[in-house]
Amino acid sequence: MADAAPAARGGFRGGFGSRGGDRGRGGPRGRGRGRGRGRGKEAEKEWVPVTKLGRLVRDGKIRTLEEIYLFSLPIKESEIIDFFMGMSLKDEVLKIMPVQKQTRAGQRTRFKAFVAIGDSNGHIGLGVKCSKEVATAIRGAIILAKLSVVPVRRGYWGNKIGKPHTVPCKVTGKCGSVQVRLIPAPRGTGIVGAPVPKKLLQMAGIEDCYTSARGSTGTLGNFAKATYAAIAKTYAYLTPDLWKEMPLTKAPYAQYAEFLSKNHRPVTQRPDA
Amino acid sequence: MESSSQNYHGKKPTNKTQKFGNQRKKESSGSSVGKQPVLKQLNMYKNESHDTECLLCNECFLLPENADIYLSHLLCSHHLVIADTHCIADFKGYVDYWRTRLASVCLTDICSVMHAPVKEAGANPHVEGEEQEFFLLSDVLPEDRLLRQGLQQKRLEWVLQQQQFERDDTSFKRGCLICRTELTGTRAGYLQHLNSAHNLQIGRTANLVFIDELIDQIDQYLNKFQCIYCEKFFPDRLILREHMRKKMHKRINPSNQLFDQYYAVNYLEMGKNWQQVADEKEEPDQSGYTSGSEAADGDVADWGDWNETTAMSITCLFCDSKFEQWEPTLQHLKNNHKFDFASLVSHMDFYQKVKLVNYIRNQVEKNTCIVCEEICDCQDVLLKHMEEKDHNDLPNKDLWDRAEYYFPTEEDDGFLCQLDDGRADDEGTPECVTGEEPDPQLCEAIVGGHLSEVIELRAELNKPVSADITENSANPAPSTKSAHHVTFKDIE
Repeated sequence: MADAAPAARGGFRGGFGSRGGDRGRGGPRGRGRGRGRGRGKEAEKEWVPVTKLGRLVRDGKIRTLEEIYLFSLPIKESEIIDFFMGMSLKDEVLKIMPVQKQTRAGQRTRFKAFVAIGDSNGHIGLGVKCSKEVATAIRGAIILAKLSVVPVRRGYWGNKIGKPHTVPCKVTGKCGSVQVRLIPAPRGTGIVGAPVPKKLLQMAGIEDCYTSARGSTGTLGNFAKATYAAIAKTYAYLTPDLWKEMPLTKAPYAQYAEFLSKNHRPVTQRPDA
Repeated sequence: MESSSQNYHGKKPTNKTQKFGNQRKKESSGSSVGKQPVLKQLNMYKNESHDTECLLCNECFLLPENADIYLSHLLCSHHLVIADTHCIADFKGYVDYWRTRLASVCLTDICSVMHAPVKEAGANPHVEGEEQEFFLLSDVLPEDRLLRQGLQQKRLEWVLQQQQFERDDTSFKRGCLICRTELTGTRAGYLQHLNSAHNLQIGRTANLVFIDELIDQIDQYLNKFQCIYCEKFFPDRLILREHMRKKMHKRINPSNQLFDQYYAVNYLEMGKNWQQVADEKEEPDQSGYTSGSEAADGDVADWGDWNETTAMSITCLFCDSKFEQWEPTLQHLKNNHKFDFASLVSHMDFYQKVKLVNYIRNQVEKNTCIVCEEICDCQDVLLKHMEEKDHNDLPNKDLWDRAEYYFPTEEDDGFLCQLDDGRADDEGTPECVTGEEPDPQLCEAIVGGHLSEVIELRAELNKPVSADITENSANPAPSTKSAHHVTFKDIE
């Protein structure tokens, strides 16, 4: 219908037909407009898992994200994180900056996005992505941040009343030349530190903490990564209350091996979305 | 509907005014012809509306608004042509720079010279005009190219800063363009409403910048009853809306250069618009993008780009001097206040240091001496008192070793973030700091081990332990202070 009408008009701006070509080419780029009628691009697309873990999650064999963390299984699909945590995850763009690369054709500039993601209740992730457009960079960084989500262990400073509010022990994280140390603090202290670690600790759900940083803290990227490494260490540190021997359980791949062999066909090439 | 709108067709506004006139002697290298984005000029001079003096004479022009007039002045009066003026991100800055440079350098040194015949206006067209010299200022000169790149980079950063502000700002308030409902919150929310409720698609919010102006522009179109896509006029609002709905014109025409300045991608590379950037062959190796540093480790390079000079500043304990680094702060305390912080606190553990610092800050704020608790009239009097009475020393432990001083006196106190030197005992083993293989002794104690050893360790942990624990002890516990000990039973 839209195509028939312009033919009758003719003559305005070289005809609608040629603009149609522009629309197709210009569509996904730059303006991100008009992918067909309506707002189809925001509609939920069915998730077809490509990894074994994704298949298990999709079919509800794995109940919580913590089961995946227990076996340190690498998470390669961000939909897995979405499945368990979807709404509660809030992302924040830490910085968009231009970066350049020298090529034979001259300098190429691109946008680089630094994104942190967390649910303010025990999970934190960091991602960085470079792209021609800001929106693409942010989207890519969010996906990488989701893939890097780790659990955060919280503890008490003194009395064990109420909910855990601080880091369980002193932990250190390092990235580049920056070393960040997180130190337990009494309830009500808040987060004592620079803006970057403060934001990350808040997103992780840690309420009170002293921080200490050494190295070139001007490199905020490394500063953020070091803080993230320190936060991730909280579960890596074996405190005596974890010394109790727990019975070994089977890893999900072993447990559901039959299910996987029946239902999961390993894909050799990721289908175009 | 369609027939009535056909009556109004044909009245189109004159097209996009190029901001820099049509003086394009040189095509930009390699890229496709024609579509140069019409972008915002780097606008650092918003509040100052003074004119710019010409490069070569004393005449003043208002830049960048009257750039065309200035360029024709340059051509006529000075025979100077500036190449690729559309590529210059900050024309005023550019002119200012060269004006100061021309004070010390000759025009012929920086410009290429051309000879061309000039005909007098109204002269006989068959008679050759006399040859005159013309100067061309272009980026063939390395200095000029660097200048242009620098201005481009500055503008890009300014645009991104603006975008950051628009992304974070939650105090945006505006009535919807179409349904007139008042919307508050973020600009992203406003655009989302336009998209979902009215199907008005102008692109992903993350790609947009100067959103307020963009919405104003669209508003202008709608108020003139003009379609934003095809730019035709209609008799009233309802007919316009019908037209836009039916023709799917509720979006921005990509070839309309008026809107180029609102998309961040156009500011990315000099002279290239979004189409050319999109057409660029994508490099498979994305990790090569750094801001200049050569780093072998891809991961570090990824994160090492983001550098900011604004580090957390450290304020002196006794006066208002601010420092960027820890060492100068300690020096200042030692020299100006005779307070050798490092040696005074060397025997304390982290929490004691924190309490001391908070105590001192508390007292200084109340203009009270830290040792004798005498209240002074103001900070200068206090400093003088402390110097006279030689009270620049560690106060009595009872005064500061209190639970209330765990909490920072000052918001965002940079001093507190430097107290822990990381070398101490507390995490016990090197593996926690460097992430290497765990200490075998430690493994033995934790994993295998006799039950009795475990019981012994447990007993050890629950005792208040003194600050100096040697690294080789099999005790993985953080050191505990004498006054407040944290036991592992307490943690979770």
